[in-house]
Amino acid sequence: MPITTYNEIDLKHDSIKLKCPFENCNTTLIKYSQDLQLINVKNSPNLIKATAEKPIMNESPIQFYKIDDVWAFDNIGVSKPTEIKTAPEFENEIIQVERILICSECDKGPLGFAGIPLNKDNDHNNLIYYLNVESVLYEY
Amino acid sequence: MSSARGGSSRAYDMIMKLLLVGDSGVGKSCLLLRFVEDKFNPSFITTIGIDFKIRTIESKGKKIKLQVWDTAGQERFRTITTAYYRGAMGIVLIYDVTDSRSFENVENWFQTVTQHANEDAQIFLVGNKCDDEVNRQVSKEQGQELASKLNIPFLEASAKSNENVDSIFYELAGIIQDKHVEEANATGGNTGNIDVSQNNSGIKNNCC
Repeated sequence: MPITTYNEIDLKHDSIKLKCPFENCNTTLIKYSQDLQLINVKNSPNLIKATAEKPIMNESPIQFYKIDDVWAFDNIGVSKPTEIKTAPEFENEIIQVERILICSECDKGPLGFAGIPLNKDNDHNNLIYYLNVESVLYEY
Repeated sequence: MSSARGGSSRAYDMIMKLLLVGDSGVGKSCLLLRFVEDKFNPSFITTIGIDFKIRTIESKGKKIKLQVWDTAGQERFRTITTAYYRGAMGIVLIYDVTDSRSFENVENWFQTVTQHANEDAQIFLVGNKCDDEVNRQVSKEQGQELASKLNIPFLEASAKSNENVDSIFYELAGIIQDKHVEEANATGGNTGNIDVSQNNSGIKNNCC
């Protein structure tokens, strides 16, 4: 099945899978659905950018899929708490970056982050997952 | 546990929370995070380590989502809380075949686990670092004997050579899956339609 980048994909395809961007891996991370809420985040950490060639690092990408339920992922690795100092902002709310997201098969990343809004308790159950739209490849 | 909402991204037959326990240094983290020299495997990931992974596998024609947790170094202080064990359906009890003390501690771990975990949680014994024959202190037979005594399945594995690492998770998931099919048959239940938000069975409606 064809696989392409965020800039090239037509999200109207019936069945789209978001894949690990690394060659020889391309593990399915999550299936595209209306549940993936597309949002803009300011001041995000630096993350991987998938390209037609090899992935590169991308400084503070803006567009993310916000995923509230970790079980929505087919495959994902979630780090232990990080000490990343950036303070991403979504709708004027600061998000405390708690974890980084990597592929659970090849262990490469970071492809996104997980965080807790500053006004919520620092409880694992309050983690929200932010997957960068450009960090993954799209199979359709 | 998650709520059982609809949507194609949540189509799976069963979810399972699995835990890795055992003495410090037996290689629990290595079973979750390979050390790969690569610029996209930044050292900070290997340093901070993995909290948990979600992996989706196919077992006996069913799609199973595994959530595998590492203990965050809490085992050093024997302070793994009951909350960590809550909802766990499988527990991988790991020792190091090159460290007989970690093997001697297996029974202590077994007791701790049975005390804190759900009664029906499946425990699985793993002897890690089986690639290191030169420094081996615990034979495979000793591992097997102990597993028989505790009445739990057993495998030797090596995170370094990747031997049996996936088999641990596949075998454990298969056993848990069989248990739940048996239970459902015994109670006349339907394994395909139980909301995990209501209980800890981990069996979920495959809505698509």
